[in-house]
Amino acid sequence: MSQPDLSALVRDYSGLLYRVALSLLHNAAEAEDVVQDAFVRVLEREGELSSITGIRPWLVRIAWNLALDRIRKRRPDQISAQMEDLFQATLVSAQVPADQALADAQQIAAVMRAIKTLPRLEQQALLLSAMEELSTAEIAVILGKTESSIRSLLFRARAHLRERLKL
Amino acid sequence: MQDERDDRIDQTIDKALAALRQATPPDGIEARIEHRLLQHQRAAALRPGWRDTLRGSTIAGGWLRGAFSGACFATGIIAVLLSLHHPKSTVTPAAPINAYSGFIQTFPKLAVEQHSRPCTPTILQAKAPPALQSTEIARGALPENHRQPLELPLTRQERDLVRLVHIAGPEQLASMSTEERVRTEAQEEASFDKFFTPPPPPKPIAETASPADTPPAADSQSPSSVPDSQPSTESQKQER
Repeated sequence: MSQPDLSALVRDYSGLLYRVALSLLHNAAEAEDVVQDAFVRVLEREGELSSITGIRPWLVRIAWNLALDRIRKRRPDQISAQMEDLFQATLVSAQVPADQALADAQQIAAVMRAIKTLPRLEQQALLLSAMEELSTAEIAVILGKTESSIRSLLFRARAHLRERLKL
Repeated sequence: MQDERDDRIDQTIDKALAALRQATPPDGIEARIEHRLLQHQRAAALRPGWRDTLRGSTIAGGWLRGAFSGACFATGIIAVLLSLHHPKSTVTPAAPINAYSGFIQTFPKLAVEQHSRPCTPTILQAKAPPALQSTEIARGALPENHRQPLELPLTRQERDLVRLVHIAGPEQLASMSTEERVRTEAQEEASFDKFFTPPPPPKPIAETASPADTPPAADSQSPSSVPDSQPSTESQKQER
């Protein structure tokens, strides 16, 4: 695949990869770094692009694994500041009055904290399902599971999340 | 009541997930990604592989190629010098096939077994064992400075001798000389003979007088009356 094709990939999928990375990392700068690293990987494997059938789950999987690597290398004290970063980004994008934006930010923070307490696979399936572009089949490809197991994971994740938010 | 609460929780969850879904990437992210890709491509182009380095396309490559050639040349020179300096091995090559006859004489049973089953010609070739003679020949063929030194530790007797040389006086050391020892022994033997010289045998009296005229023993014992005292004095003079 030539350079214009790679530019097309950047144009089409950089937003999706950014959101996927942001859902895991909760940090805008780190998410952008992950997207850049993912496209560098794509550039290094330029020759394999023609043999790849599903380009979107392949790209998301690269970004997903890079984000997971960053989470593993993180120090525990970095998490709270990154949550604040996510809140600010959400408030800016909402463009609502300040009081409502503050209430929304608190609700979102509570949901994010509850999501973090979920089992790892349920958490990952739920975060990937938040992306509209990704179907259940693609999530199954990204996580290396079957579609039915993804559906049951999503169902259980919702149920567990509801229980945790009731408390 | 419960359903309303569940619906509210579901709405909250959906709102949070929607916030993630609607998160917009920062402005100019595409340009930054393309810039990063361009930088990566340039760095990859400037980073030469080892084949390119050895090909000599750059100055460093030429230097490296020269160093590599020099190292190879030096290795070859050293190998040639070593092969010239050391003599060739005297190990005999593989013995011809008639060595099998000796094998038959030594191990007749095994030879029968060998004959009973087919074997490749390589089995019949026996290498001559490295004999001691070949080692001795090789030692003789070596130049003087490459011979193995044959210095052995001193024996007990030799050590005693060395110690004696250090602690003995000049007379003792002189006694160790063979010539001196022979001369001393000759002197000692002469003095011994001189001291213990046996008396000369007495002359027969029958020539001068009859046995009836023989004087009594008391008379013969007096030195003045003994007639054969004169010859003994002469023999002592001869000895002196």
